[in-house]
Amino acid sequence: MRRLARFLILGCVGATACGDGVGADGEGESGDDGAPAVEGDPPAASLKKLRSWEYRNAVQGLFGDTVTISGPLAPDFVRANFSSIAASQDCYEDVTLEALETVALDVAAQAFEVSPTPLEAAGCTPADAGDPCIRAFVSDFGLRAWRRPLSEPELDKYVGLVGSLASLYANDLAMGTELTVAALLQSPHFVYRVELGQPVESEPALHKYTPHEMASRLAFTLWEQPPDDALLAAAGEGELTTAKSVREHAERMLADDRAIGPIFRFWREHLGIDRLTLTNYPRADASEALYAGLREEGRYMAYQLALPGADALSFLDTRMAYLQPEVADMYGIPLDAESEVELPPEREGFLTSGVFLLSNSHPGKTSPTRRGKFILERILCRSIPPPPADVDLNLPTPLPGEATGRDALAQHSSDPSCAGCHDQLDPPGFAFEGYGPDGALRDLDNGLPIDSSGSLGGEPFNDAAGLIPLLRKSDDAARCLTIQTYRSTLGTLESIGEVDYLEAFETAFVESGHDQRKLIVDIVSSDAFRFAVGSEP
Amino acid sequence: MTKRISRRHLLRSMSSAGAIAVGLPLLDVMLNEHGTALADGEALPVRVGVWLWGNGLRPEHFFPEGVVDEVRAAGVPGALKAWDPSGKEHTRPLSDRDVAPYVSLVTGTSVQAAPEQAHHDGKNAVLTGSYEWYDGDPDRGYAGPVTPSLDQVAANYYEGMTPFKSLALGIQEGAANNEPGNSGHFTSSTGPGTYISPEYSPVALFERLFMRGTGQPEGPDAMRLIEARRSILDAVMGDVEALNAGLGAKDKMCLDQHLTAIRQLELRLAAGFGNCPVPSEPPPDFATVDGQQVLRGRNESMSQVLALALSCDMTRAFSYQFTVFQTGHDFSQEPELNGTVPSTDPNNQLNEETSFHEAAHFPEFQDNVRIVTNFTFDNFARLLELLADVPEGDGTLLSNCAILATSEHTEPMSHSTADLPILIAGTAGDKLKGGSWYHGNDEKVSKAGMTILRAAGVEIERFGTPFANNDGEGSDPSTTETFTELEVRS
Repeated sequence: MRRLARFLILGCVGATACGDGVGADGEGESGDDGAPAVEGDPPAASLKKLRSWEYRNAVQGLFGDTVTISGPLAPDFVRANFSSIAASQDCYEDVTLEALETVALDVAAQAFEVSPTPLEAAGCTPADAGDPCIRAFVSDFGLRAWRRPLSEPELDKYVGLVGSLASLYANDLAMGTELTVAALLQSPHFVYRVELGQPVESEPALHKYTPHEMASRLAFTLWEQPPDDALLAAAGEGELTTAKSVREHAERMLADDRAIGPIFRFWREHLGIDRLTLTNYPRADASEALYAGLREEGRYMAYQLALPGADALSFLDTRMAYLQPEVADMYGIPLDAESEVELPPEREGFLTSGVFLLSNSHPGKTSPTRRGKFILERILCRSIPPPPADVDLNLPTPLPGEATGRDALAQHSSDPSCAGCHDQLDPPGFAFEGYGPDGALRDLDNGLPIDSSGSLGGEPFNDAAGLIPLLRKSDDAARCLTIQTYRSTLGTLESIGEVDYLEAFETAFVESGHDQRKLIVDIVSSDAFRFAVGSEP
Repeated sequence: MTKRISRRHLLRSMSSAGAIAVGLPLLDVMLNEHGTALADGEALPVRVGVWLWGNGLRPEHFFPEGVVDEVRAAGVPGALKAWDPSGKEHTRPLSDRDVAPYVSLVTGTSVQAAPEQAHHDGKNAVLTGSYEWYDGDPDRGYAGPVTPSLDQVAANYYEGMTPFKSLALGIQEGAANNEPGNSGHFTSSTGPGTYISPEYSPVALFERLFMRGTGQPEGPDAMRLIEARRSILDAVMGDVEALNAGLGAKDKMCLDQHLTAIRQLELRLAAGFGNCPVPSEPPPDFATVDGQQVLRGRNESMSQVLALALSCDMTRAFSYQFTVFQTGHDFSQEPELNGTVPSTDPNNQLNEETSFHEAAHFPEFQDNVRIVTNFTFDNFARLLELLADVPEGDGTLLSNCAILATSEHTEPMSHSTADLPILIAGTAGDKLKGGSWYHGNDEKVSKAGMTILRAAGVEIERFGTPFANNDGEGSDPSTTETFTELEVRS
């Protein structure tokens, strides 16, 4: 409701600003001519937890390999399939903050154990706490740790802290500096991404991210790293305030190998690849080697999709796969050692891979409903409400007489309380009935011939090989991948005010031949990424 | 250089220690000369807890017969009777372990919220007096309840009085807590969509309570480091406070939690634990190995550490999640149940009909539900037994507790939330009656939480939120009332 209210207030902005782009042409926020500051309705700003790997990268960015982090960090959660969304929605818990205190003290101690210490490396051998080189060190370290310059009061406070901590240690200024470093690492400005923006003069309800905040946003979004020197320098020069400048940096960053990681992660999270474990999906006849092989197949695909030039929708129909012998054996391909192979005709893309087929089955039994649900929700972004609270979720088992699993699901269509959803859910899943619960091909189900036919959006198919091209050419698949990329990139679920952005992104994404990297550049240089509506108190 | 290495050594040495057996220390040194109140004259604290198990029970082995018809015939108000838990096999462990006089049974309650989601409605109503924070977007999943859970309401009230604001403990590790929205599965919640994930390791809990950052450090280096850490935390606290202005609700909550964590750490650094005889070695951990869990062993260790923490007044609020809500645990892993109940698939997802939760939908599985629930209640009774073994003032540690034990629905076949199973263990410093059975006449289930909070002296007007749900459906799940029949009038 609150989101809708926001739309009603600002929604007129989108309605009157029928631009052809998404803010890619530069600044509109002057408001001099009464024009709206931005198109659409960007998401609200919020603190973002550093995910555990981002925390490690941030520490490493400060100290390089001279320190190691021992002990557990914050547990990484996923919400709405993406860790970036959980990072926006969750707070650090007490236990984690306590652990981060210990880590900060330990990391600082390690950094100051090496020679030269960070202080010495900065050419600072202070005579007393008032030495300007201490202030310079705190200023420089603070900028890199907090991803923004410290304000004068902040600088005063932390320089003062060096002196007061040193006084506990017989005025050992190195010790005072080391412990101050530990303090800066415990601050919310280090452990959170604090990107809140500044009110836009012509429209105070709207915030624009500052240059340093943009540097941080770009670095963590595109690299999962703190900003590099080039970004900090650009921010220091007051760049990153225009779409053009942001786009230039984004393009530079995407050309760097560090851009592979987040896109690789996107696909693993989006397709649930890493979730295929024996703990999550225990199966009596499964081996760890097979599961590892299946994950490896999925990860290889995810990695290929993260490389430049990939057609993002090829996850549906790629015929190249990297298989371990255990997986190849299940697929009926002779293979002595792991290698990249061309798949046989009955295998193409993610939906015929073991990760999808197995993790969307019941133990020992396929689930057309779960397979269909995954396709509808994840790949086509259709929302299916959960079953009513009072419905009996159990199908009659065993069915009287001989029947296939599909026959058992017939009740879904005959019972009106089920049919509304299951007439949508089950048919795409039927296409995969030729693949058993573990993902292996099968000719029979319960000794009876298999019917894999169905229809999607009125178009009939006979089996998976018929369904996959329908998905591939459907507008919804491209639209949905645009939405999923947007969610993961911004760490938020879209609201109604962001529809305009999404439509423009989708158009460009389709025109580009499904170039996800270009889509990401479009997203981060758009108003949706550069602006925020003010927080709801 | 030597100094720095020694500091690191000091940090590390805080998480290791020598060995004596775990015992249960008394709060003696903190008490007045009669042992009836704290040394400063304040009444002995009442510890508020929640003990949750997943997936309900077998009603015929839990609910006593007799009073229901009387109450219905008489109309309002409800009726109070003496209660003997030995009459039903689920509750018999309370008698066998001699804690029955501390425990009361409440029946005849109802969940007020409009039925939206199985499991969630019951858990939210009884633990929080609210409903699921759910704004209609299915992708958001279940974010958790709107208002804090009973233990956290108490924790907010007690904040600053003890070194740990609260403890959230878990025994069975759920399979799927990284699923979207699965935070709804956690027992302790702090506000809209925020929760506290449980600590599953008794050893980690022990180290957190008694060693990391606290312990009983000696020597000038240790004291100096503590002073340095306090200065650092002061500086960080200043950053948090300065940042707080102008943030959204969720961010404010994050910073509040940040401040709380810092204050607690400072408190611990300032106070140390000179008063509490801490054993130097934790009890066995019973960690999960290859997905195998031993709930009995872990429950024993966790209950011991909790009893220690409560007796030392390290916290006054806790949650104890014995099995996860909607549990899919494979109870055949438990040595004492092996061969008695069949192996089930531990996958904790809906529609896995071979998991414990899904199998429990079926009539033919109910005898296994009976056996597992007996096991569950015996583990609960064991915690109570340990608490009752600690003398405190005129009574015991247990008589200074008020613990709500419940589940998210009544019985697993229907998932009905009518007449949720409710036990109140501990008599809140003789403010509540034990050994009693109160049968309400369709009263709000949230009154159980309010009864506990009032008895513990937590000053709140209302438990829960008076709104029904996001769609305006259902009736007010919150309450300002208590089960007065269970209260001891002085």
